[in-house]
Amino acid sequence: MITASVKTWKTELLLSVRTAPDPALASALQTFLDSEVTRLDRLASRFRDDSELAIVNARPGQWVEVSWSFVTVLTAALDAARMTGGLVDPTMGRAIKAAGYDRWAGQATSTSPDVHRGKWRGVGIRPGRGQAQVRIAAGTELDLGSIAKAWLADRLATTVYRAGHEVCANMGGDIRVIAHRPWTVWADPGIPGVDSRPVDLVDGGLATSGVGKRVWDGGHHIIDPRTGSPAGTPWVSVSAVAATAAHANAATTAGVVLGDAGPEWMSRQGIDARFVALDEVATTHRWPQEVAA
Amino acid sequence: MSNSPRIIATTASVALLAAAGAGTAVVALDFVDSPQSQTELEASSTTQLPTPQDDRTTVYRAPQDDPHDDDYQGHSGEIQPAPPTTTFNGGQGQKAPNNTSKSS
Repeated sequence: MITASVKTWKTELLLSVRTAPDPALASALQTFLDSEVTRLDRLASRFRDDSELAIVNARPGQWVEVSWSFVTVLTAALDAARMTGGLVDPTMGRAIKAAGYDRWAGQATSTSPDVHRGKWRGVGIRPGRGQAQVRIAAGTELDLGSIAKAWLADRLATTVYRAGHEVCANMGGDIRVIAHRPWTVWADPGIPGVDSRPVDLVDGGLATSGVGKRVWDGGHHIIDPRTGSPAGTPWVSVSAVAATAAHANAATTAGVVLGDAGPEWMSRQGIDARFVALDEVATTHRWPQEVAA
Repeated sequence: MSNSPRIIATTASVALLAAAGAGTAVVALDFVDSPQSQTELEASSTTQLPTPQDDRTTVYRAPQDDPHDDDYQGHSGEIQPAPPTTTFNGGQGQKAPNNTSKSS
């Protein structure tokens, strides 16, 4: 096993291949991970003024020149919105600021609360003078934080697998495996006394969303687009497996947002998931049933 | 008249692709799916095709006044489940940072 790692975005990003020790491959893997993380940060970070996302957010209501690479990440976020009927919405940047996330993350932003359900449908994409142009609705801001790491996990895993290696990309909990034989991954709810659960993936994604870590006074970072406020949910952690990390991430975020209705919604989608509350565990589809500790 | 929406939309897609390269394929497909854009194009066969800088060119999705836009209750579900090769048997792998999914 060879693993490359980067600590950034208040988490750790790990890229592993199933192979015998190989210094040259290890070096190449680290270089690839470093470059892709740097590239994504320049595209979609909300915490740097020169990212393409920041430039788009600075000019709501106007067409802004962007790269096709940025469009690729944005499209993944819009796909998540479409797949969840708007429960995961990348235009909630203002709401997440208003909920206090910037202060928690060490930023200083003064923004009024804003509710703008469904504004993701107002995001326009078209060819530009150079590559492409993007326009967001006036009064909205993009936040791609929910989907960016999962998108990166899928991108890295797909690329490394096509280079001939069985791979597991774990981007801060958003996991994508592509292998020839099962690769065991674990869903950890992060709750003392509640066990992690294993899943064997050959080609698939595992994601976990929760309110347990990025939480601060009066809120957390998962916004309910129906209210524009941090989701009121009993679930401390929701894990799900799906075809890709991006799909799993969309499912778990929607599961948190839906609260009590999450398990039923997840079952209707045919998604294997585990919902963990402080006093309850619920599972859906093929995920084995269990009782809370 | 033989200016069916499909043919006209295809012509427009070709124009867009020629203007901005193969990377615009997704945008062109969305353009085909936009009833509003098709209506505009059908209005006159002599209408000049929109340029890449034209505001009418592209929307990501169809009209925004669809009452079912955010109907997660009635949503049919397009999240793709994990393939049948996925199992919950515990496998052989030990829990480690590189294989553990935890909310970050």
